Order: sequence, then C-alpha cells, then structure tokens
Amino acid sequence: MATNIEIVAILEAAIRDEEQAYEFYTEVAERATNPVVRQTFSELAGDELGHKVFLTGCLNDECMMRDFPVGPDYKVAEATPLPDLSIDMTPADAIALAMKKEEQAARGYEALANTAPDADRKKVFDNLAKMEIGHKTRLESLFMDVGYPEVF
Amino acid sequence: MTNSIKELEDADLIFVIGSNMTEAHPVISYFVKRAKKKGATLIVNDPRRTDLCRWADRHVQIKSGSDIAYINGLINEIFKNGWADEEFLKEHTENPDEIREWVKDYPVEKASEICGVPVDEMKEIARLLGTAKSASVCYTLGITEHICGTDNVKTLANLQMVLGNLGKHAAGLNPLRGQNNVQGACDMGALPNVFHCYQSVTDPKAVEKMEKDWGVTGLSDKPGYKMPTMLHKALDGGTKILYCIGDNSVQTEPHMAHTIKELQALELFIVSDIFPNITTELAHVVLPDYSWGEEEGTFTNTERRVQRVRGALQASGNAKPNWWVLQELGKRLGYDLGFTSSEAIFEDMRRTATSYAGITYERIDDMGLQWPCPTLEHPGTRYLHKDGNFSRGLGLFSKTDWIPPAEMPDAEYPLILSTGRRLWHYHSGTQTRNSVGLENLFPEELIEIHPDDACKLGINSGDYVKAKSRRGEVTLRAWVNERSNPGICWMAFHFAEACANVLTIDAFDPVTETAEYKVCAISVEKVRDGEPLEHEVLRQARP
Repeated sequence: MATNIEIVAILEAAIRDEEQAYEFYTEVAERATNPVVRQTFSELAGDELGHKVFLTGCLNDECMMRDFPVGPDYKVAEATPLPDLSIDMTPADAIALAMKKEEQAARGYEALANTAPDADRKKVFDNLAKMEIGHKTRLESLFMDVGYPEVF
Repeated sequence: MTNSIKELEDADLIFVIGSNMTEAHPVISYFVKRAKKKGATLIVNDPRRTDLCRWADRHVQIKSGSDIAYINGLINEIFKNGWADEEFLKEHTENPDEIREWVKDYPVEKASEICGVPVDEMKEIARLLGTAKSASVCYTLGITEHICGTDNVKTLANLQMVLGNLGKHAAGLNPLRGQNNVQGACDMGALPNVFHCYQSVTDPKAVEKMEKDWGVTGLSDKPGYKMPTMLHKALDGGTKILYCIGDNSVQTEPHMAHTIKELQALELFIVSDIFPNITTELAHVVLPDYSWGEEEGTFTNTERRVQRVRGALQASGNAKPNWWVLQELGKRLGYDLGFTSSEAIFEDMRRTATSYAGITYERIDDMGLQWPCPTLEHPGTRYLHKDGNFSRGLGLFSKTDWIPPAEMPDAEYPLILSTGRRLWHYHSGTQTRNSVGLENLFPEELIEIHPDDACKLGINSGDYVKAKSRRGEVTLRAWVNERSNPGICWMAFHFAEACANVLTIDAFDPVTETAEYKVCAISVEKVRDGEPLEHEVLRQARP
C-alpha cells in the first residue's frame, strides 16, 4: 500500500507538469501571429492553471481517489500527426499540438499506472490519465471543426 | 453543407435563394416542407415562381443577377436595426467593422432599385431574418451560375456571419450539391488543384505525403485546368486529348456551337457513357460505362454522408466500371495501379486522407457516415464549425459589390433567358430521355414566356417559336405562364433538339469558371401555330 508521502509526490509531479504546460502555452500565445491561435493558447494556459489548482486541492482532500467520468475516446489525437511548432501556425495546427500534448500526458500516466507497485498508486495514475483524456477529448472536439477544411 | 439535411426541419427560418429544390432536390425540399409544417418561416427568393413558393410565407421575386445588391441591402438593414449578432461578430469574426461600413453603400432604397424588390418588402425580409432565433440558408445554382457566383456565395456567408447563424443546429450555410455524388467527386479529388480530401497539389508537404503513400515520385505540383479552360485551350493546341467520363459536354456547356468547335479541335477525344448522346457523336473513342444501377462503390451526398452503393443489375454488353477501364489504361501507359475492387480504391483513399480514415465499407453497410470521421471509433460529424469555430480561425468578411450580368437585353435581343432543371428530366437527359415513362410526362422542351410578352409577340401556349441569341437559335413550343416576371423567359437544357445551351453565353465567374447560365439576352418570334399544351404539363405551373 502506498504511503501518503508517495501519493503526494505523484501529485506534486503532476502539478509541475501542469505548470510547465502553462508556461509553454503562455509563451506560444505571446508569440503566435494568428489571433485565434493566440486566444486558443491563452485559454489552454488558463486551463492548465485550473488543472494545477485542482491537483493542489487534491493534496489536501484526497479528491484524486474518486473516479473521473470517462467519455468516449475517439482517438483523433492519435490519428493526427504532431505539427511543427511555429509562430505562424494555423488554428488547426495549434489545437492539434495541444491535443497531442494531452494524449502524451494521458499515455504517460497510463504507463505509470501499469507499472505502479500497488493499487493506491495505480488508482491515482489511472485517474490522472482519465483527466488528461478528458482534456484531449475536449480539444479533439474543437479540432473536428477546424481540422478538415473543404478548400478548393 | 454546414448542416445536415434533417436539421432543416428544426430551423426557425429557412431562406432559400436561387434553388428550385422541389424539382432539383426533391428529397431536401421534403425536410423544408416539414419545417414549414412545424411552424418555420419560409422565404423563397427566386426570379421565377417555383413550386416551393406554394409553401412559402414570402416569395421575393428578385431580378436575376441582382443577389449581391439584395443581400447587402438586407445586411445594411439588419445592422441599422440592431439585429446583428454582436457577440458572434466580436468573438468569431475578424473584421466586423469593415462590413458595417461596406454595406452602407447599399441602403435599402438603392438595393431595391437594383434587385426590383420593393423597399418595404426588403425591410420586412430583413426583420424576419434579424429576429429569427436561427436561420438556415439554402442555395443552389441560381447563386453560383453567374459571372459573380463566387461573390454571391461570399455575400451569403457574410449574411450568416452577421446573424451569427453558423455552427448551430439548424442554422448554417447550405449549398445543395448538384448531383448525387458531386460532393464525393470533389472529395475524391476530381478537381484540378487538389488530391483527394482537399490536399492541395501546390502544398509541398501534401505532394511529399502522397508520393510517400503511393510509392511514386514526380507528382505534379501545378494545378490543372478547370473545364472551360480545358476546352478553350483545345483551340490553340494547349489541350490535345480529352477523356470525358459521363458528361454530355456539348449539351451542358454554354454556347453549344463554340463547345462543338472546341471538341472538334482535339487530337483525341474519348467519351465514356451509358448511352449515345450528342457528345459521343464527336468522340474518336466511345467506351460503354456502368450505370448507377450497375455500379459498386460509394456516393457522398451533399451533407457529407458517405453511403454504400451496390450493383442491382448485371451490366450488359462490354460495359465495364470506370475504375477498371482507367486501371487498364494505366497499365497500357506503363503503370499498374493494382486495385482489385472499388473497395480497394476506397481503402487507399481512407488510408491517405484523414477526414475519411474512419469510414469503412463495413461501418457503412447499413447507414452512411458523415465526414470528417478520422478514426474507426469516431461517429462522424453532423454539422461543421460548431460554436463559430472556423478553419482559418476568425471568420473573414469579404467585400462584395454588385455587377450587372455579362449580357443584358437590348433592342435586338430584348428578353432575358434564364435556365434550369425540370422535375421529370435529369441533366442532359442521357438517362431520363431513354425512359419511356418520363418522356411521356414531359416529352419536349418548352420556352416559358410571360403573358405580357407573349401577347406583344402574338404567341399562345403551344405555338412554335424561334428563340435566338447572339450564339444560336432553337425552335420549340411556347409555354405562356406567369412564373417569371415580364421580360424573362425560361428554358431547361434536358433536350438536345431544343437545348437552352445553344443560346446561353460563355461568360464565366473568374474564380470558379462557372458559366452565367442564368442570364443572357434573347429574342423570341412566332414561327407557326401549334396545338395547346397538354393539361399534365400546365399542371406543373400551378399557382
């Protein structure tokens, strides 16, 4: 059985990831030329702050022990190539980049869950993975609107 | 379509412009009628009183070719009265202040003069649009078959963005695609500038991807010609060979005499079709084709729904599916595509294009799926641009200004000819003219002419008349009715022996190269008396 100290360490690592994501999105938002890309990344940065607040709350009240609802995973991110990061990227590429990052985060937590030494830690990692899949799904829904233009 | 067909029945208001949908898209018109029965407001904007007008709250009889002035006038009125969706403009569009200024050039009084719609009626239409909870716009070739067709479409997009009517259920911009599989043909890359699923040939990354996926090198990165240019270049040797699949070009292109000259100038003209027609007569080689009832594959309809099609009949004689013929041709030219079935081609397409990647024959065995559908888990996409999310980011308003049609009436050719389709026949009639039943229902082309004009010319319904333009003349019987305003005649192009395209003008939209089939100048004169028209024909112009 995992100790509280070990679970706290997992959560603190997850919080650091959210902080790094916040910094990444903020930096890209400042540099992007397309106003929608700037806005999208600003919103994503805000989302990451929200995730950090949520995880920080979990340090105190063990809310991570509850189950995250799991919606349908259409695996759009998995089917989309990772776009190059550039200041003049299109809104579709910006959203694709973000959903790929969420996909990577989810897969990372899934891998940790699969190798977790005990059930408590596995549950924490599983829940973190589900949370990231939720973020991925929301971005995939956005991507469906902009990623397949009928232009000729 | 940004919406699905079924959503139309939930619209609060449906604004139909340049679409004779009960005759050309009867299934879609069924959903519009259902909307009307559920309490929707229906506004039909058309120079001609089409059958759908019987269901409409308003029939706005705009002058042919005046759409930009009319719509800009409505937008101006919408802004003036505070009916624009300011939140949508702020959040989802790039240049709302510009269009606010642009449409000031179209005060409703000026727009009314151009489009022929009374000022009060325009104000009422603007009020209906501006105060509707949601409005869906449906348009067809009455919008696109003008020299300003591209700007017509942009103006409608402006209207819907001003009203915030995009990315919502039952509110969008809906071009009703012409045939059962026009959408599918475009998706498949039957266009001069894209690979399948709109991957641009001028995008080096797309070219590189396709070369890798197909295991080839040297794919062209230059767009090809659009069809009018293709034909035009036959005269100067720029086009030497034309391979025409299921298109009766002589009858469907404008200015028939000129089209014939262009086709005759080709070094090699190959036509693949299901029956002989006036185009196959000019071909050096004619290949017998599968008909839709014999074909195996998929059709993608106007709402992006990919549907399975199965051969119900065994093809007769030497007829072969087009994919097989093209593959055999490829082999003889030194490249074997290696396909074994239409499904194998579909698999190749979905493997190399993400919007179709999740659609398989197995998944659409019972019910079609709407693209984008990028994965096998994805359920397909009912409507696009949800919540105002556009591919380019923010929606961009385009400045559009009204220009008159390329050829207006004068003393020599005092009438306008507009053209379109009739319920009983399909396109150039290669299929329907070979159906005894349909021939009985509508056996000959008739030129529709207003009673005021007919009276001046001494013409009664059923009389034989000569319709003449600067490009040719046809003799056919007259149908005197009040569907169009005085000064406007109307014909279809289903009948080779009296085809509207003998008369139509080869003036084109500069972007799409779509011809201005909807307006040209003609004269009409009586040739001889004829028998009155059959009751069954007259019934189609019921008030």
